[in-house]
Amino acid sequence: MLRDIAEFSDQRLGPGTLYGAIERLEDDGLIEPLPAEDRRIPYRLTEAGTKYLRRRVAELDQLASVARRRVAT
Amino acid sequence: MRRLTRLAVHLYPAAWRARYGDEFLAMLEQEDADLPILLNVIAHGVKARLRLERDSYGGNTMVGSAQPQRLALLGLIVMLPTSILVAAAILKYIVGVDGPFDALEPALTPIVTHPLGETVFVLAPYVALFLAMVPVTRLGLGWRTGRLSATMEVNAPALNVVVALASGLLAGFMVLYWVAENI
Repeated sequence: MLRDIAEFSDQRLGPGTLYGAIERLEDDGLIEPLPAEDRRIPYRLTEAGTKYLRRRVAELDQLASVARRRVAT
Repeated sequence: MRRLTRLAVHLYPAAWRARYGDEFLAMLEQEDADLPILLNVIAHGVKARLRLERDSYGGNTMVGSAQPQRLALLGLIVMLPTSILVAAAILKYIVGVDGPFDALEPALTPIVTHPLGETVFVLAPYVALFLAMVPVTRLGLGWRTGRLSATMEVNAPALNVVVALASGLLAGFMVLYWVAENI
């Protein structure tokens, strides 16, 4: 998971940081664990998590479009 | 380094390790063990432990290794000898009642004139204040949008408030006495 994040975001996340986020997201009901694969536990978005992510992406889209316009002028 | 990182996982609370420990270790085994990873695990382990202890006291304490009232009681015991001596001195030198101070003086003089005894005697009110207030105080420090933000939240049982006020008064009186004597 850390390598995946490093590849798409170019950020090296610490394992403690990642699991801090996983714990918060799980406690907030935004992600849920899937059955274990060996010792690894995959997580997936819940319905609430998907809604939240869509809303955040839309907000970031809007922010990015405003930023693009202002940079262009 | 890998062994140290595995050891550092024990900084996380037992409940956290029961929930995430095995998958967390499995992930650590896949990563290169280096100093930034070790420091990251240590920092988040301590943070998780502090959060758990804070939550177990209603989310309002800075540290919570013991019940706040117990620490306040310990503070009261620590400052008791100083309180008794100062009260006796006030009675003698301000009110004019000699009895209590004269009775205590022979026993206490060797203690308070010894450097160690004097240090303990002088520091006792501050130790009591620390014991009474630190477990019930939550400090926040942050940097947002170019501004420093500092907050202090206190949620104290009555005993902690009484011990804090008494130790504060005692310390204040001792400072004033020292100023009057030396300046």
